[in-house]
Amino acid sequence: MLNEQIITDYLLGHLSEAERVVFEQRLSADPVLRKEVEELRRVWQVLQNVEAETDIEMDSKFYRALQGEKMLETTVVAFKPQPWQNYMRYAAAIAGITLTFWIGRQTAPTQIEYRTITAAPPVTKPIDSLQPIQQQESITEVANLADEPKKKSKDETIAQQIASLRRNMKMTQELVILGLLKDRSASERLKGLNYAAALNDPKPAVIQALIKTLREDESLNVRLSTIETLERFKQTDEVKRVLVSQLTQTDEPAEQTSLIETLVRMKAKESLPIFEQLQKDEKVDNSVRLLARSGIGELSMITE
Amino acid sequence: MTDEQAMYAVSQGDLDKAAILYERYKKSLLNFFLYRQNDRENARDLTQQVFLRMLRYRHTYREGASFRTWILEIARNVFFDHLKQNPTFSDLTEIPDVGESYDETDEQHQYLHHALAQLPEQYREVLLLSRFQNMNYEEIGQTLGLSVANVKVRVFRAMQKLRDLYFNVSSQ
Repeated sequence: MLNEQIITDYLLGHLSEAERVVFEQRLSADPVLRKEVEELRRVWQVLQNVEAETDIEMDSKFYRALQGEKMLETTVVAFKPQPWQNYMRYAAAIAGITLTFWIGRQTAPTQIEYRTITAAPPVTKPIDSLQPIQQQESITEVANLADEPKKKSKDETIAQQIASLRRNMKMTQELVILGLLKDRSASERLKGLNYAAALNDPKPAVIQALIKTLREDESLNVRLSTIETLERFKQTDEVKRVLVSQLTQTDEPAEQTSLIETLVRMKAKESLPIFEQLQKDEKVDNSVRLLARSGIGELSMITE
Repeated sequence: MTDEQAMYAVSQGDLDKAAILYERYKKSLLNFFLYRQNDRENARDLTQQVFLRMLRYRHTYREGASFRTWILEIARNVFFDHLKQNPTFSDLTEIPDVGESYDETDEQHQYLHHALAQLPEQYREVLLLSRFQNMNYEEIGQTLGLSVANVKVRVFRAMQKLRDLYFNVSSQ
């Protein structure tokens, strides 16, 4: 073992009894080594003597956050890593290209069919030629009658295709949103949130991505925008609990304000204990404390 | 209850056990951050962030994995994220305010802090892991990606450098 490894073991008390005795014999025989070890020991001891203490404020913040997390635990919010989400962006691009190709293939023949059906010639023939026209019309009628089920089924097919297109479009939109929410740039994530806000009934995956963004995004603006977006959708108990939990964990007055206002609008009575804590906490911004107090008043009225 | 048992319980939804881990690790993490930058308020925030991440990412904890190594990995990530956002905090230029209980006339502490401030980051980190996290060589090696022999050598060199700086500062 090298000298420096033995000295480290000696200073940190990691030598066995036998090794320690042997090393101390070496020390007594070698004044240079002894001086070095003594100096190192002195510095190590100084390092042992300095230690800062924690404080009540730190503790209360942690226990508040823990309380919020416990509220969330009752919901099924699993933040397990989902490797497939990494490929969302590529999937979105491929889906977009496929969709464009598919639209091209599907819409071209449909337009030709429409032109054939609607291009009926105006009736401007002289009276003496009435008979042939009638014959012609009856032939057309028979042809039209024969075409009726075909036309009807074509209409149905077109309707189905449009519905399918809409579904595909929504799916693509959702994939793009999921991709944007994971972007490094905050402005891209904000763009994703704008797209998400335009959705009518987003899939659970989008809601989960928004929840993740609210809990983990480092940009305050993105988090504020996420709160607004989440409020637009179905205000489930899960979303309410996530917002309450976020309120226990953030120190940003702007975010606290937005969360309190949103929770009051959502009539989330479960946020009352947190509002009360915020109202009492002297470290919290005054405007937030006042807002929490008025929130308590409003929510209590709803309860009654 | 060991740290690992407590963390496994937390990962399975028994969140009350997180309080045990918080009480065991809050002080060592606070000091770990305090001696890597110069601001108590920041050290407190960073410590808070570590425990928030512990709660959020509890599902990623694998049964039997060393809790100390796992939480330190989180602490290092929190610190690097902090440095990315606040590059100026990488310089230790002031004596940290270590709290009301600390006697500010303590010269030893001032010398030590100055010496630590001048220590290269890789040396400072290895000393703080050993001192404030009570990590053994294996755990430090696992955290820093070093062999046990290399950890010992690095601790020794860090101590040597700290000694030189400490005596240099205190003799001025």
